[in-house]
Amino acid sequence: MNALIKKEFGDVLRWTPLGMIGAFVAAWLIWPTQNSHSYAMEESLISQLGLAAGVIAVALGLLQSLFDTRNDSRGYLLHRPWRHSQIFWAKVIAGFMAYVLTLTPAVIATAMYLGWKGIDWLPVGAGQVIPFCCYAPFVFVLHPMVIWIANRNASWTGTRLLPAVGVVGAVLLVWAGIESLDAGQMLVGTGVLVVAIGLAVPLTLWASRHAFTSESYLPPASSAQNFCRSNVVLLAISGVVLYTTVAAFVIESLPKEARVYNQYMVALGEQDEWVQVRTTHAASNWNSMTTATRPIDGKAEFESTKQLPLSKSGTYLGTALGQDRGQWLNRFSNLGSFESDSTAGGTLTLTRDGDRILAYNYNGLQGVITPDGFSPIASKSTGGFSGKVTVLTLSRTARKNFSPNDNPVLMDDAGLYQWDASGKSVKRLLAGDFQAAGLSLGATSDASFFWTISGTTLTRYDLELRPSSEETLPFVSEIVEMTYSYQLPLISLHAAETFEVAPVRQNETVRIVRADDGRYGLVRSDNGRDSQYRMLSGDGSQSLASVDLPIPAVPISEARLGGAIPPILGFIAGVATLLGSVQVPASHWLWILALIQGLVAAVAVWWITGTRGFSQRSRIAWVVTSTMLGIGTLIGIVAIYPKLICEACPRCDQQRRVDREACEHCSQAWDAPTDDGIEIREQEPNLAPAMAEIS
Amino acid sequence: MKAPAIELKRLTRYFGSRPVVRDLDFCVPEGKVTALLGLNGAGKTTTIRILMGLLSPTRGAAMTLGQDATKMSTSTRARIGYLVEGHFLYPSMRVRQCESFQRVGYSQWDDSMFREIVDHFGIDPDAKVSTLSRGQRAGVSLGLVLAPDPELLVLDDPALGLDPVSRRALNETLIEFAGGGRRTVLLSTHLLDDVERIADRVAVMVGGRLKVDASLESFRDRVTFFTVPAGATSDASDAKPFAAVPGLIEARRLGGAWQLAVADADQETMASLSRVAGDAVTRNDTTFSDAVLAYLTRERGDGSFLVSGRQASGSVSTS
Repeated sequence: MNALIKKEFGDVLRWTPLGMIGAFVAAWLIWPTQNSHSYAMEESLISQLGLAAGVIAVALGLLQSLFDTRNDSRGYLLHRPWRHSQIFWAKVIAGFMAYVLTLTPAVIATAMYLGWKGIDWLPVGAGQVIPFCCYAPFVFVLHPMVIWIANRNASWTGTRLLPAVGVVGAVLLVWAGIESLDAGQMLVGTGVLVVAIGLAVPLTLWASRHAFTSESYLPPASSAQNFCRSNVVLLAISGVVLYTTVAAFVIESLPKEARVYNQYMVALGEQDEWVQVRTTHAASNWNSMTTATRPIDGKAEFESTKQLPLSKSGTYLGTALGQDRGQWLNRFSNLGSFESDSTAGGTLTLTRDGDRILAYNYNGLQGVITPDGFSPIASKSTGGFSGKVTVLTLSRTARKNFSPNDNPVLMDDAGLYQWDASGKSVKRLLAGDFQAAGLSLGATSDASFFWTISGTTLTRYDLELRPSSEETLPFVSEIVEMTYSYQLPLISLHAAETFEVAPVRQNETVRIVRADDGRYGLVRSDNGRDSQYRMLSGDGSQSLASVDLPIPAVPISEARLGGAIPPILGFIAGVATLLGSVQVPASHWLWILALIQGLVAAVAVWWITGTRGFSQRSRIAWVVTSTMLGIGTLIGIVAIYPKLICEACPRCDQQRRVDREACEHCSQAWDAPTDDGIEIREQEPNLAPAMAEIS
Repeated sequence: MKAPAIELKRLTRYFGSRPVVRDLDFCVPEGKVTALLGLNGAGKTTTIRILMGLLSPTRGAAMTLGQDATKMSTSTRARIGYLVEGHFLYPSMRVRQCESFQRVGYSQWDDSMFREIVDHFGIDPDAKVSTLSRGQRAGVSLGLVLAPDPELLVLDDPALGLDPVSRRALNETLIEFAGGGRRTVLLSTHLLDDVERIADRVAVMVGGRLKVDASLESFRDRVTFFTVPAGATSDASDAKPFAAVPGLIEARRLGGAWQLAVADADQETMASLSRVAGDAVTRNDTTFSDAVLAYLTRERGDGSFLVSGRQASGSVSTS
């Protein structure tokens, strides 16, 4: 096998410089030159250099396959005392070696560039190439995919390229899985990666091997050589993905009715009573909003009202669980830019780097921020934040988001800190492990409060200006309303009162509302539809009341997607809607259309399997499958099962398959060919044919 | 009784809805050189690909060295030398590399034979394949195929594109290799002179079907040529009256006479000819090439390029 690997590697070796140049150019294009370009280098490498890697894998696959589909080249390669599967694996191994060789210069050059620049100039490091190095081997699955396509028993203008849909889809799915994991969706991300990598790689390799060692001999339709489980599964999936993508594209391209968009929430009404609030965004312009309220029990219709004050609709507390603290893919994370009077350019961009924060301006690194303070020289910084540190999202109200443009509040697993952007110092505001925190801005400076939740304790803090602060306590002024930002002074926090609450759950939103009489209310929600609420009292004896808010109507135009998605998904969406376990419920039209699609697919599959000589058992299995997976199954069946070639039977006159020895209708064997009277046949004496007469 | 080296039974192969090989029953006896003849597209290469296990039959069966060709084992492959059409070699390799690549997996490899053949064709072992002439490539290919000392040699148009010297070298090598009846050769070619020189048996494929499968001598003996003056028939330009002659392979107009090729001519043939042309019929000597060409021309149904357009009815064959 080594000789064949050597030969295959030698064949593609002379093309690798071309690939190296391509990969290098793809990498060079994303080498960062500005601070803002450098944060997501890992993602950029995966997406852009990953694209180049995909092209290289495909090109290598073509180089190693297309020539060998010629009869002379194929005959020369295959007629030797090696198993054909050995030849296939030698091609894959040699292709992988060439693939690694082609990408290596670009990866090394990128790592050297990033390491050379280092953090003193931009937030970059040589290690940022590691995620790509982990991702790139998976992209190589496109190489055996090309071998599979080249050796398939199908027409180029028919379904020959269909495997590309499934395998390229799997590559994109892996990318989506990595993104999901990065966003903290561990279950979804892990599931996607397990399915995409765990299934796509072995299935593609096996289907490709099968195509090379069996399908490439162009077996007749009745031959078992046409089938293996891997290609049946992958082609069926590819068919479904193709149909869903094309149908969804067509459906989404159809004109849609303008949609009025309603949002529902629980808030305090004019008399400080709990009400349901409906905010309607006009169909013609979603920026045009109207507000309506009704009693919290929902027994009356919504009535228009003027916009509720900020305090009564409330402020969300930023939850640590929902912050970007779960992100792991990118080493560096942009925490935002903040004004700094003492810095050239007037702005410092904060960049998280593990347990520390790097502060940059246009001249490069200005210093490192840790709980121990600010160090202008990176190598001399001491200490580190506990866990991942992030800038706390403050003042996200139900109506508008306001954010401080200086002196941000930082949050880690050990407490809250405030960064003095001009004085370049860090002060710990609170010690403790907080799951949520936020700043509710009032109409006046004495109506602004800081809130935290730690375990089962909700605490309200009064704000006090620190002596060094040059600003005033924040409140919602006309400028703040207009610019969405405010000057956050250097503050100290003093606990004013505490309330007993349930611990914050994953993905839960927590909102604090304030009544005119100065009391506070708590609104919690898991999925946006059900809200729990109560006025806050010190002893925590009052339990949360609960209300189910109305379901926003989904227009029929969006439900048309039921004709595109696999019916099983429509069915799941319908059941989830009925059980009320989804945030955005599906229109009943969605699953009705999905059901219709499933039925149409079942009828069509029943017909087409009848024309292709399926057994009754096989037909039923495919009909059940198509009912679940939809019309795309038809594409899969056409790709998996070759078209039958038939001729009229001289006995029963029905069309009979040419690949069977006997007529499937009347069991008549093929007639011996009629002689023309010119045949000269004279068998060699003493010859004993081994085969019996075929009848 | 000996088992054949190759045995095809009702072998049929379709490409799309077109049958390229149909109901082929054919045996290649051990220890003989069998020539497989036919026009381009007659199904020769398809047949060879099937019996080499590189193409599945649509129906029927092919046995090569006693094994089902669709399930050929590596040990059986090692016993077969297969020279593909066009003398394919990897252009980037040197002759020496071709040898070291080819020999892997074979239990025996005759270095001296390979060197001899390469020398015979005047090839530098360090030359790159891409710099070799067609004849030299044929020599390297032949050396690679013969060096493992195969029991069965299958050659698909080995003389394609070769100059006369290379052709002679190829034929000499084959005669030497196949001499003594120890090895079997199946040779697909268009060069009838070569066939006559080296083959023991001949098989002619016409339109995907086997029309001739006999020893060279027998084939030559059983095809008879007759000449009938054109004026001896009722219509000098119409060949249709000959269609009734039993065993008529081909009737073609040559100058002022009709030349007829007949298989297994007997009394009935003579009587039929007398009915059409009276006593003007004369029997001619048969050459191997003429006999083969009669079958091949029958398939194509044409004659001289100069007259084929003007004499559409100038050629006839029974069917």
